[in-house]
Amino acid sequence: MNKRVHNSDSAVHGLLWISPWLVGFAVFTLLPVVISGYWSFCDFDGLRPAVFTGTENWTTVLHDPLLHQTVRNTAIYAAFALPIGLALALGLALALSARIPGRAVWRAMIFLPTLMPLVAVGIIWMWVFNARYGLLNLVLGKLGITGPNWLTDPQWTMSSMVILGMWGIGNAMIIFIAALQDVPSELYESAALDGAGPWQRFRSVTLPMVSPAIFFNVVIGVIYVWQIFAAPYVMLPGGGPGRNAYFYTMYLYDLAFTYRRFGYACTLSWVQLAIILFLTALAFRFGRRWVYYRGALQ
Amino acid sequence: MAQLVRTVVIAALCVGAGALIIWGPRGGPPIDPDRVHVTYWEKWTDFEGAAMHALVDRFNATTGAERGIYVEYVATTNVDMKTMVATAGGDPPDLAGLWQRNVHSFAASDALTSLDERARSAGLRDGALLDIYEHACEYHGELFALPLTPSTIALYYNKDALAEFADALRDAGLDPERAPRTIAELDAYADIIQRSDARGDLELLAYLPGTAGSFAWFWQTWPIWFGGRLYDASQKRMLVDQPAFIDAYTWVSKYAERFDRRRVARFEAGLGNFASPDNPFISGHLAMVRQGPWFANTIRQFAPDIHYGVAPFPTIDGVPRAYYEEDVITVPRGARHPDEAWSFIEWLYTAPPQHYSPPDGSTGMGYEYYESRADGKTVRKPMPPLRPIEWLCWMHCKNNPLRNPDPAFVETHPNPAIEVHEALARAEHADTVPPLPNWAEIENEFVAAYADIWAAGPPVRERLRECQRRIDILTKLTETRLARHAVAYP
Repeated sequence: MNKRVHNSDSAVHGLLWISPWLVGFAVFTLLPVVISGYWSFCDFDGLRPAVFTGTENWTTVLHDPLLHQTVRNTAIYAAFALPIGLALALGLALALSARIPGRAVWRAMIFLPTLMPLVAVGIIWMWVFNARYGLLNLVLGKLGITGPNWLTDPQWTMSSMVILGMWGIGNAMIIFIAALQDVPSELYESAALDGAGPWQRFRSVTLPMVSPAIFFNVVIGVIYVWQIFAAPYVMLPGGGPGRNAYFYTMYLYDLAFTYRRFGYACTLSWVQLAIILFLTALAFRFGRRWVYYRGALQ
Repeated sequence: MAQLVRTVVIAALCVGAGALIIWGPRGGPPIDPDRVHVTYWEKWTDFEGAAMHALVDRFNATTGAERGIYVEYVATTNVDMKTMVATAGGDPPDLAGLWQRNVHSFAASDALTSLDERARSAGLRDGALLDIYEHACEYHGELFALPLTPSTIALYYNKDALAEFADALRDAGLDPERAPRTIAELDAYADIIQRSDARGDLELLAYLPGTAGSFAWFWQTWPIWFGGRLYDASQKRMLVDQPAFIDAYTWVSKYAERFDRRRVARFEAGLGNFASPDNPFISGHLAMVRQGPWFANTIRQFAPDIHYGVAPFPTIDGVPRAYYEEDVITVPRGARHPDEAWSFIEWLYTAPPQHYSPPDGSTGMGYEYYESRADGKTVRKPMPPLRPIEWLCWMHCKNNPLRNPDPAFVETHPNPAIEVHEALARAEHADTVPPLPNWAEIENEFVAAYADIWAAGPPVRERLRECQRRIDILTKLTETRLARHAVAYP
């Protein structure tokens, strides 16, 4: 009995100590989430009282061609940027886990860009992609290739955004490096004794052992790519020619803050949440088959 | 050693922090508690902000002091969005400097205080303002803003570039001493005035209707020069699939094609920003550009020796046509001191001509003297007194919103071709942003269509029809939304 009272006191004390955070969370996160849920059923311009319109915004979702284009664009972007980014991050992590000169410097150099403000990143990449004086076309020119008009040719805008996406692979790389350091060396030794070559060791030892890190990066990556916004918004406001780089969050932002269709924007934010939840659930569903947890086996 | 380094670094930081506390920046003098504090959010910084700041200071020292009003000027980026959010939150500024294109959208959402009665009492609704600028501030016939700095668009041409190709122009029956007057003449100039480098990259073009050296809001204006109107008042809609639009954008698309779309894109990629020495007109990459009167300021800042001229932009039939817009001042709904805010607006328009004090760091131009150009020589002369609103437009190098400007305004104006812009404001064919509350959304649809036409060259008629379909959907949607608040579209 005394122990139960003591536990209850501890819980109250604990809640009191974290109450500033709880109040902040309730007022600045939970309440807006609830209100946006209500506004998703309203016509609200931000200035006049919201008018309840039932499911109008939700049915508009089915018939809005621009929304469908942004979903398509974002899905294409995700389909390329996510796997390429993960593969590159894993490749770099493997290379930088080897004993090479200046390893710490290389790691820092690849990780540092992830700390830069995204608007600044967008402006830098506008110059990198500049068709006439850009770094990328300069390098391609040295190789005898005439570089395209990355940001003005509708056939290349999506590719340029995917390339830009690689700027932030430092985060995933660091997680992979940590996971690689955790792979027991005796597994590699056993495999080598059994005659496994480098590719077999990578496929049968490294990949299963870092699969939780891959899974983590996939989930975080899905959330990230479906919210891509700042850099493309700076580089290609409106998505560029053909609106080929007009992504979901850019449209959502324009709806709310440029067109003042807050109600519909709230609906789209809930749809975005549903898409991300669905893809995350899918990742978890399929993750069971290929993610190997050492702790779980024990 | 490490301990020593740590101690030195911490000591240096402490000394820096202490110096900041002792000698660091200080806030302004406290505002007299007996005066009503009017907050004024405005988009301008740099010399434009300094000009309005000087006016605010003059008001605070004179009429403001008499009436117990103190106006605080706050330079604000994205002023339209922030004003909207602040108004929605119930804490707007007392004065907000917006763009003309915001007026209908804000007024339709009941976000602006009507200035109709106040302006009438001050005599500003009886022909004091030029009609085009006054009507642009109205929504459903009611005045919700007053013009601050208006402008019209004209053709700026580099006389030296025309002289370089004078023989070829003469051989083609063109006059290198003047700007083209028709679209056909412009095309003929464009055929002659061009240069490429050894690699085949374009180096100089006569003109470029695309993105370079221009602003996105120029793009919708092309039909005006082809004899059309942007807004069909009878149908209360923007009709982008009408003949003038199709003709104009077919011409735009062909313009990119004639120089090879890919080469043009590379050329554009190499052109610099508007307000920089790399501006394509200033850096000599474009011989002609479509710009407003403010461009004279940019030229003076970065290349004062350019030998340039200004003329109405060429039209399909040679009849001068104008596109105009203006910055405006408003009192947001829910402002705490609307009467005091109006006092400042009224002062801007009705105070007698006067001289103004230069702020710190000012060059003096526009405060104490102006540059008079006579016989090819620039002479500094004492600045005559001007009314506050006219002096503001003078300082911004823009048009005058008054029907009867002070003669000194034109005589002393820093843009030597201000007469051209003033005449365009009085032209029979003058057009502006369609007065639509959902203009931002419609404009973005149109800009997307324009970007396609310019960059990819789809069939113009089909692309504009698709754009029209989108505009119709957006129009219907806005009609429904406004009807919920008993407001008629547009």
